[in-house]
Amino acid sequence: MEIDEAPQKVDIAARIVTPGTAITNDPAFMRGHGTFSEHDTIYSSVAGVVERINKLVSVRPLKQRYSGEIGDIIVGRITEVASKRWRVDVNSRQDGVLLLSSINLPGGIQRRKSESDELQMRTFFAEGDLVFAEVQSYFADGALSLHTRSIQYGKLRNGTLVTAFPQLVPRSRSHFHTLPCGVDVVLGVNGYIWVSKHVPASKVEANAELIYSDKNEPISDDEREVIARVANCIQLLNRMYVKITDTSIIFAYDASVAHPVKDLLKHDVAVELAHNVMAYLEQQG
Amino acid sequence: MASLILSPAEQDYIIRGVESGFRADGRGSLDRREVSLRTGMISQANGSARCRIGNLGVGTDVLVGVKAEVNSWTPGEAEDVGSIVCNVECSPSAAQEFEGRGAEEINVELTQLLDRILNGPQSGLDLKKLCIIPKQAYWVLHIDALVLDVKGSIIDTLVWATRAALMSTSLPRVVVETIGDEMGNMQAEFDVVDDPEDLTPLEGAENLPISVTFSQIGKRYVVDASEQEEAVTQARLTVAVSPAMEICAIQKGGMLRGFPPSLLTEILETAQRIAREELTRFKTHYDNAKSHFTSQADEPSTGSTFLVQF
Amino acid sequence: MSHNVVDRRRINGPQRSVEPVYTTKVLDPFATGRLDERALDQVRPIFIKTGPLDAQSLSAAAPSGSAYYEQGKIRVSCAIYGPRQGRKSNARMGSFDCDFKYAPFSCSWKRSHMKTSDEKEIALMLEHSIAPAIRLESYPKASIDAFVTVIESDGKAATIAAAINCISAALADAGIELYDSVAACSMALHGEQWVSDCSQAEENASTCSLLVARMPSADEITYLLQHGKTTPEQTQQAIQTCANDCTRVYAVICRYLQATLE
Repeated sequence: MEIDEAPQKVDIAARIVTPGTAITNDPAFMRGHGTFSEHDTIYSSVAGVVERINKLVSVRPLKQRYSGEIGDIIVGRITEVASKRWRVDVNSRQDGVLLLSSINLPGGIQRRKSESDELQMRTFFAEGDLVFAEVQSYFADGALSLHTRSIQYGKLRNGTLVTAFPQLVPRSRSHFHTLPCGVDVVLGVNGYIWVSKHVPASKVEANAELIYSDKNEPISDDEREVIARVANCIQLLNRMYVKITDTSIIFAYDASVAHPVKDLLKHDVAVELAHNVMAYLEQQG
Repeated sequence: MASLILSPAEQDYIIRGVESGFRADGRGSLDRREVSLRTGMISQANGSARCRIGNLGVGTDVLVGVKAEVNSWTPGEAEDVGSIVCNVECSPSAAQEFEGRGAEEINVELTQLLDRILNGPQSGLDLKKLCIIPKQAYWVLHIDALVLDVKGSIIDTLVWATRAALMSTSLPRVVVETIGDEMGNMQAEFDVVDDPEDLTPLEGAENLPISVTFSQIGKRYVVDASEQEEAVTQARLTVAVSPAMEICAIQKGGMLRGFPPSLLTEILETAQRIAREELTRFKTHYDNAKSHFTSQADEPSTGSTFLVQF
Repeated sequence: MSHNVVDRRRINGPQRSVEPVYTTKVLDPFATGRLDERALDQVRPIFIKTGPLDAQSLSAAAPSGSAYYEQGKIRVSCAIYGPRQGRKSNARMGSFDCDFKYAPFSCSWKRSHMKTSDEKEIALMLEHSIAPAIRLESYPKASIDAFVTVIESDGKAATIAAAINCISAALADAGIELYDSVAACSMALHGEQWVSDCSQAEENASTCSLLVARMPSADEITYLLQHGKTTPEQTQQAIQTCANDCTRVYAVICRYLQATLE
C-alpha cells in the first residue's frame, strides 16, 4: 500500500492505522515518531493517525505520554534531590533533570561549594516542590534537561495544581497568562497546569531573595473563589476533551459565572459549559 | 491511605482554604461530591454494586460482589447463625503503590473496618435468618470489595457500595425436610432450590449503616476529602450511623494528631445530620441503580453491560 | 481455629482442632456484681516494669527501651528499637512502626503462629494512637519501631488498651521525646450500663465495646474505636467517662515513671 507521492503538507484525508499497518515502502520517505521499518517498508507502531510533512512520515496516537521537546515550557514536581541536580517528575516516560547549574541563585551570589551540599540544595528545591521550567536539552539517555534561568521561572506558590491530558495543551508562544479575572495560569505542555493568585511581576523582581520561599502570599476568600473557579473550568475542559488555551479558559470562565463554583464539576453543568465553549471556539475559527 | 506528595505551598493553600471554609474545588466543608451507583451488574454474584464518588466521572471507584455459600457447622461455632466474611482489595489500577504487596496494609485496614461494621447486631442484618439448619448448615455471605480507583474518601465509597450490594442481594430459596430413620432419630436435610427466579432478598439490609468520614485539616474538618485534602489530613474519624440514627462504629485514623474532645462532640453531632442526608441521597441513587436487563432482547448488542451508563 | 495455610516451619498438629466446649453453663458475668468483685467503674489493678526483664543486657543489640505491663490478667510486653536509620533518606520527620502479636497461648483458644489480619490491624491502631504523641520532627530520617507481644489476653479492647499503655511506658524508658504519655482505657455496654475495663467473659456478654486513648496534658484523644451499636447520647457519655478513666491510668503510669527515676 502506498500513500500519495506528491510531497506536500498534510492535507490528505487523515488515515487511521493500527500497529503493524504498512504505510509505504517508498525509500524517499523518512520515518518519524510512531513508526518502525523492516525490509524497506515503514510500518505504524501505534494506533493513530498518519501524518506526513514533506518527506517525514509519522503516526500520532490519540493518547501518549508526554515526550518533551526543546523549548517546551513545563511544570514539574521534584521527586529526588541528588548530587548537584534534582530529579523532576514531568509526566513523561523518564523523570527530567534540573541541574544545580541551571537554576538562578538568589541575589546573584557566587556559587560556593557549600551550595552543592544536599542539605543546602533543599533550601532551593526540596522533594514535593513544584517548579516552572523550560526544556533546555536532552541527556544521552533521552531524559529532559530543564532550566529555570529566567525570572518568571522557578518555584510555584499561591495556588493549586490541575492535571490535564498533555495533548490538550498546545504549544504556543506564551504559556504564562494573567487572566482578566485576576488569576495567573501556567499551562505546562506536559499537562500540569498551575492556577494561582496574580502576583505582579514587579513584586517578583523586587524580592529576588524570596524566589525559593515556600510561604504563600495572603490570599483573600474572593481570590480563592476565582482560583477555584478557574481550576474547575480547566478540569471540565480536560474531561470534556477541549483544548486548553488561555482563550478557552476565559470563555469557560465567563460562561460559568452563572453557576456556583462547586457546581461546575457536576456532570450536566460541565457538559453544557463544554458545548458552549466548543461552539464559541468554532465560531472564532 | 494512598497519598500524594504536595509542596509546602500547596499544602498551605489547602489548609488555609479549609480554615476559611472554602475548599480548593469550591466546596464548603460539609459538601460532598457526586455519586454514581449501579447494582446487579455481576450475574454470577448473589448481589453486586459499583459506586463512584467524585467529579466528572473520575473518582474513588469501588466494586462489591456478594456471594452466598453453604457451610457445614463445626463444633465450637455458634449454633444458629450464619456468618459474613469480608475482604477488601485495592487493585494496582487504582494507584501505582498498590502493586505487589504495597496494598497489604490498606487492604487489612479496610477489611477490618468493614468487618467491624457488618459482623454483629450493629449491621442490622439478622444473622439468625442465615441459618439453614441449626448445628448443621448455614449461609456464609462472602463480601468481596475491589477498589478500582482512589481519589479520596475511600471508606465512605466502600460502605456505600457494600450497602447497595447487600440491599440488592437475594439468596436462593432453601427447602428443609425432617426425615426419620430406622432408629427413630429425626434428621434434617435441606435442598437449595435451583430456580433463578425463586429468590429471597436478604433480610434487614435496609438497616445497614452508612459511614461519614471526617478529616481534620488545620483547625477545621471536612467531609468527603479529595486526594489533595487527604494528603494534608492530620487525623480522620469515621462514624457509621444506622437509619435509626444509632452509632454503629467509630474509628479514628491518621498518625499526626488526635482530636480535642470538644471537636469530637461536634463531629459526632454533625455525623448524625450528614448521615441523615446521605441516607436520603443513597435511597434516590439506589432506586435508580438497577441494571435493567430483564431479558436477552434488552441487552445491548455491543458495548459492555458493565460499563454502560456509568 | 483451623487455617488452610500449611505452616512448613513448624511441626504441625492435626489439621483441625477446636477449643473444648464446657458442659457447665457459663455464668452471666454480671449476675451478682462483677466476677472479680470490682465496681462497675473500676479499672483492674496495673503493674508496670520498664527496662529489660532480666537485668543484664546492655549490648548494642538490645532494645532502646522496654516495658512489661499487667492489668488484671492481661500481660503485655513491648520492646522499642530506635531511633535508628530509617528507610527513606529524605524524610523530614521520623517514622513510627508497630508490630503486634498475640502469643499462641494468650487467648482461651489457640492462636495461629502466623500473623492474622486482626493482629495487623491492631498494629495499625497502635500506630495511630501513639504516633501523635511522639515528637517525630526531632528524628528526621530515623525510624522508631515498637514490638508488642501479648503474653496473656483478657478482653480484646482491654488488651489493646494495655498494649497502648505498655508502649507509652516503653517509649519513656527509651528516652524518646514525647509531647505526652498516651494512656488508654476501654469500656463495654451491658444493657444500658457502661462498665469499665471488661474481661473477656464480660465483653462477650456486652453489646458494644469502646476504646479511648488520650493524651491528658495535651487534652487530645488520639484514638477512638467503637465496635457495636449505641445511641449517640450513650456514645458521648461513654467517651467522657472513658477519657476520665484514661486520666486515672495516666496517673499510674506517671507515678511509676517518677518512682523509677528516684
